[in-house]
Amino acid sequence: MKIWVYLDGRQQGPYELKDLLDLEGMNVNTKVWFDGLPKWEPAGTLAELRPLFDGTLLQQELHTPEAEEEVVVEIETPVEEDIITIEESPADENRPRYAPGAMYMRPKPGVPSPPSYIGWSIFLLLCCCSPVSLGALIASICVSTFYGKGQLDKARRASLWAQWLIMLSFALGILPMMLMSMLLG
Amino acid sequence: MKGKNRIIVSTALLATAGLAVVLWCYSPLSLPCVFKYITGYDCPGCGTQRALRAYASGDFVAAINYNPLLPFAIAAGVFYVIVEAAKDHWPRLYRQATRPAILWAMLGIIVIFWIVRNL
Repeated sequence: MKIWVYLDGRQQGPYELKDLLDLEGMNVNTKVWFDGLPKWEPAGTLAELRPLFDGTLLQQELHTPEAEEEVVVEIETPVEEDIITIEESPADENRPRYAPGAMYMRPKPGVPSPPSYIGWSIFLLLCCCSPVSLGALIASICVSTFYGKGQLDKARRASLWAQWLIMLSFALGILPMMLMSMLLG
Repeated sequence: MKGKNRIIVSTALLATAGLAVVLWCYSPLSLPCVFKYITGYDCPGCGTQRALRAYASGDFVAAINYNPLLPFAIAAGVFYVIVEAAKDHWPRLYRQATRPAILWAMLGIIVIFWIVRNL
């Protein structure tokens, strides 16, 4: 099925249904047209595009053999104004429930993970363990966890935390050790 | 930091740390653990210095007794520093190695070790 999309003030396409998973800014209000429609219609009103908005198409795409092992689901938040509500499909316990108007986007490849400094956190835990080193290790792990969930902002913040906690832990761990060894003989 | 710089800085830091450890292994200096000094409990890193000295003198059994986690932690630390520094070259290895489940499991092992060694 060839689908044309009206996005960013211009007509784009033709796309296959699965290509729409990569289309930034697409939501239920986006006007689309394909052969057989009398006029441009909001995407959310068309049964043919339903798999885009209930997550089934993304699930299918992610579980094809060539898909990456890491499954990341990023939900594009729709524009607040006049959201068309789609009736919920029969409840499927395993599937994440979608916010009205949200579209399931394929995770963007190529956005690199912020540094997690995980190796250094492990070293610090060995040579100068203090609760701060443990905090640094947790922050490092959080970087990968948030990145894996597609929450880049949180991953970046965790990366900064890890960086500062590692430095703090180094200062608090090694320096007092040296001072103590000098004072205590 | 971009790819090449990251590799250079990481290598330099690793080399410095390694050199410091080796130098210090053969020095008479002994550093107390702040956590142990304050609380009286062992931390996951306690015994590292004694264990390293034991390794240096070839007494592996004593070394393992001082800190059984040490060899694994050093291996994991070196591995992750290298993998993260070279993540542009081996992106797939980086993704696999930094899967949250693996990392949280590692943290779990450390915390359990911490508790068990103080019982």
